Amino acid sequence: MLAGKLVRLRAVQGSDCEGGWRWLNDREVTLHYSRGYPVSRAEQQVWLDEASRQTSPPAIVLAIDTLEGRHIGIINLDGSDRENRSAELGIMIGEKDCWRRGYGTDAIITLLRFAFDEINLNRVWLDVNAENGRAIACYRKCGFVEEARFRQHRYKLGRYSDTLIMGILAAEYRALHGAALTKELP
Amino acid sequence: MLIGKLVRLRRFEKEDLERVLGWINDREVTRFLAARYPFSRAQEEDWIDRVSKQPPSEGLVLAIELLADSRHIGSIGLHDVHWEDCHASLGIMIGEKDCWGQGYGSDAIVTLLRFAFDEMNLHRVTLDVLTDNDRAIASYRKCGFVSEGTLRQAYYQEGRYRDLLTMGVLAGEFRALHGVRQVKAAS
Repeated sequence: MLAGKLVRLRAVQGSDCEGGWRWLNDREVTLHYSRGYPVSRAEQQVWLDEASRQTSPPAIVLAIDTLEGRHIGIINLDGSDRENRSAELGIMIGEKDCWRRGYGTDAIITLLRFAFDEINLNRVWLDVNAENGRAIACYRKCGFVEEARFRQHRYKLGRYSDTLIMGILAAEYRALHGAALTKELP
Repeated sequence: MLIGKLVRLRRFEKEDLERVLGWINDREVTRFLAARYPFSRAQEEDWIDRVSKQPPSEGLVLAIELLADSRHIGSIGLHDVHWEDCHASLGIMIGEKDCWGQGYGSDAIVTLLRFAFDEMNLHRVTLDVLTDNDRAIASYRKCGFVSEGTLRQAYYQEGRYRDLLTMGVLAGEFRALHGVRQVKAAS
């Protein structure tokens, strides 16, 4: 369990299926994440069964819970790029009433702390639709900077749109959010 | 078979094994490629077996041969084909070192891009290249690729992190640069 200020990140479990199934079939939620093919419960269960067995590199999939214990989203790191100490971050806040409240930002800062201070990554990157202003603002706040713009990289809603690549390095994270807190153990 | 001005692109065959095994284990050849570990004969057999049977929906890896004497000098491929977004990434290796700097790579790329845009109906082709690989970058620019950004410290090699330049070319840009395909009237 990784504890943030607003959320806790825990391993996903089979019983998370219903929430994920509902989110992935809501185009408002998936507009910037996925293609929008309808997802079956069976498909989502298979994904969860696999994801729940991957809580260490190369793939880390964690559920985002509020401090009250409500399951509101998913965050993941794909760290298959071991030699380069680089991993891709993905996040979805599926419960729409939880948008714009800082849960995503807190989840990312919490997972980045783990990525840099425990897994010993040097770089975390992500791609984001250039039209997804809310997400981009959140990533900037976490410390990501824009590194590239893939032109006409993504096709949806009948047209091509650009994709931004954003990255953050371990040293940049520590400069922004402080070095690891080493508490005296009791 | 795809025919360029200097090279032709054909599918791989079992008989290509020895040459490719030699190239992929030559550090001078792979220095700028995402090839980090020594490659065994068994691995190379599996690779050739896979790419020679791969359906085009999963990508297209082709051997580069000189038109002049049919000498097999390298390989080129389209990977990570995204059919909805209509894009793919391009990789190339000229394994025969005496063939470097002679325009064979550029001709192979232009030939494959023509096929990608005019036959596969792709919209965009991308690649990543180490920022100090000047010869490759010059070739990619000549083919029509433009820089889209720099991925900082994205690749670790020879004791340090290195930047990757990420480049892309769109179908419209390719046609503006290299012309629309000539349709010959049947005689």
